[in-house]
Amino acid sequence: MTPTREEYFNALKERHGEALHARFSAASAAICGLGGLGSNIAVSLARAGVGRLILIDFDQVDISNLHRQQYKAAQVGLDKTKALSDNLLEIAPYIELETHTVRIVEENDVTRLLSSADIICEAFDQPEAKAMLVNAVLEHLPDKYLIAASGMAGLGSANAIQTRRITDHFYLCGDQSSDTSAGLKLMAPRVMLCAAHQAQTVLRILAYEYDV
Amino acid sequence: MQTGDTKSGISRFLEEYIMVKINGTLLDIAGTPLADYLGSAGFKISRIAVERNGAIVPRAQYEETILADGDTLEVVSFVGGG
Repeated sequence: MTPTREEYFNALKERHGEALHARFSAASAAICGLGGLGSNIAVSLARAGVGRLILIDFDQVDISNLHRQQYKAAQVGLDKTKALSDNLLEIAPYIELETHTVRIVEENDVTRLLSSADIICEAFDQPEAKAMLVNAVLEHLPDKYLIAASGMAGLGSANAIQTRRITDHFYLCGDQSSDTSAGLKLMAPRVMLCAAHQAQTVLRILAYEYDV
Repeated sequence: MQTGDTKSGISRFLEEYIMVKINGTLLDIAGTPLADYLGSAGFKISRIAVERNGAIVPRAQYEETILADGDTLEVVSFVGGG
């Protein structure tokens, strides 16, 4: 049976403490791309009690996604925004979700869709899309915190996945080198590790812990 | 030009303040436009973001940004996967 709102939030307060829970629940995080990184970031942040998530992806769940992304076989064909929303609401029934089933292709999309977020996670898979988003956010939304990812493919060591702080507001997670275009395949745990780095960085920033 | 390990405080000072540091490497390229450096170093402009002295360099300013002694840059090069 689903807990009541009061039961649910009381449990989070007990876990995290009143002060941290207040920061998490007041926060709004945007996740750009709902694949291996984004779907795992979303699950972590929803479980932690982040109050509002903005979920953005143009794509639908494909059978080839099931090996690493937080979707179920029966959800193949659904919009990722819809499928992930359904899954998150099963985990965290009182989270606030805003979804956009669109492709972010230019700077206008970035300012239009992301202005209300406190923290933005870059979770695309194509390097050009990653670079476009990062440049657009840092240039046009310089007050936002941005957490991007590069390099998490293959069966390399888990320990090679790191978080670096590039500027005051820009963090980069990954090993920065393992490239799918070099033929490396994406493995659930290593992608989840990178997503976990990103999600943990979100929580640390919300807790005013800015160093890595 | 890339330099080796520094031995003295003086040479360390010279390298840190009289050269351009990019991704941890000291280069004798002050006066070079950023766009020229990026091209010669083989970076794909569509896949990078450039931080210079703690701030992002907008893509539209790669041509007009002239590298100066003492600059510290990080070129973040994105690879595929997510």
